[in-house]
Amino acid sequence: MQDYYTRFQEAGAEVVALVVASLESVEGWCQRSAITYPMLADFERQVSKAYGVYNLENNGLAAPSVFIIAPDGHVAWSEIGEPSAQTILEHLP
Amino acid sequence: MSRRVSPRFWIILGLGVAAIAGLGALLALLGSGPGLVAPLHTPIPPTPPEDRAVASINGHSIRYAFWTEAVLLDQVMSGLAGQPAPAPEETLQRLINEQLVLGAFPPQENPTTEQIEAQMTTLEQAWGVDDDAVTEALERAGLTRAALEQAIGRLLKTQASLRALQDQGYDPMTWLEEQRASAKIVIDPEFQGQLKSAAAPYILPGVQSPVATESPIPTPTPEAPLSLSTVVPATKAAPPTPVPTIPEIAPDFTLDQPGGGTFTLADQLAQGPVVLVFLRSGGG
Repeated sequence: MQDYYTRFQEAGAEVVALVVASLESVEGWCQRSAITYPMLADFERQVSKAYGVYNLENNGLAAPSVFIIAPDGHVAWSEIGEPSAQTILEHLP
Repeated sequence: MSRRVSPRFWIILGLGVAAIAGLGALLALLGSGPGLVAPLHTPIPPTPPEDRAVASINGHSIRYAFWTEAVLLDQVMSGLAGQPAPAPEETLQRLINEQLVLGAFPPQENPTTEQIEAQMTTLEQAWGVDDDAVTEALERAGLTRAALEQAIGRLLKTQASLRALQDQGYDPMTWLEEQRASAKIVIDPEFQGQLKSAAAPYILPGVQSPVATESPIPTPTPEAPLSLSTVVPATKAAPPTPVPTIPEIAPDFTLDQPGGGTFTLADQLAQGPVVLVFLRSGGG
């Protein structure tokens, strides 16, 4: 995704990663990695649960998934899994 | 995409309690609404299981303990009426509909003890049981008489609210359908999974399990202050469709950002589409 991030930005989209982890862990990951898009700590699992992806793998974590949210707030596309950045880009509204 | 929940249970229960039956039939008729919208703001701290909210209607929570008690009460009452109990999910849908009504038309006053007692007597006469039988049935379910009286009080309040709704010119069924479509109703996805599994833990011994839905049995309607049973159409209930847990409307949320500040989805959407990527872990 990092490789494609510029292309998403050029298309007017923002990419945000969410992970069920502590803010401290996320801060550590961000510092150690080359990721430049925001990564957020869904420590309370509220966001993962709201999107229906919490604990699908019975591991107390969010299942890898992608949601494209259109500016009007509706979910334009979603996939449970790890689609390629190319695939995601192609589905941008 | 709305689910049609059979009004069978409430119409049958209403043999002799037309007002409450009609009310219940109306409320149970409308199943779950379509999409879920969850406006999230600050994270909710972990709560004890009994207190956790299993559903939220325009911000009003239905707690696990409240729903469990309602399920048991429904089973006790249907048992006393000699009828199959509603599925726990039907009870939840009824509670959601009740909250929509009560929330929009708050009752001006609470039912009096006399009114509740009178309704209790009416119910016992309809069921052909006496006080002792009711107490015994409640005790088997681990419930108190006070719990039943509270439930009756709530139904009376809902009935009064429905009257207010009608006085303002609304048709209850249409109004409820519109509310289901537009209200912020969230059902906890984990809890939904629980609902889908067998209702075994909640079925009392001797209580009939919910049967396949059929056309409702016509109910005699003795004198009633508000007879909603005529509002219930004689439809065949569609088989329940699974409720998707992936929302159609993206739930808004705000989370702290590493390094300071917060991220709010709605604010970012003002600038263009947003791609949310849920990761199993941040390390890889």
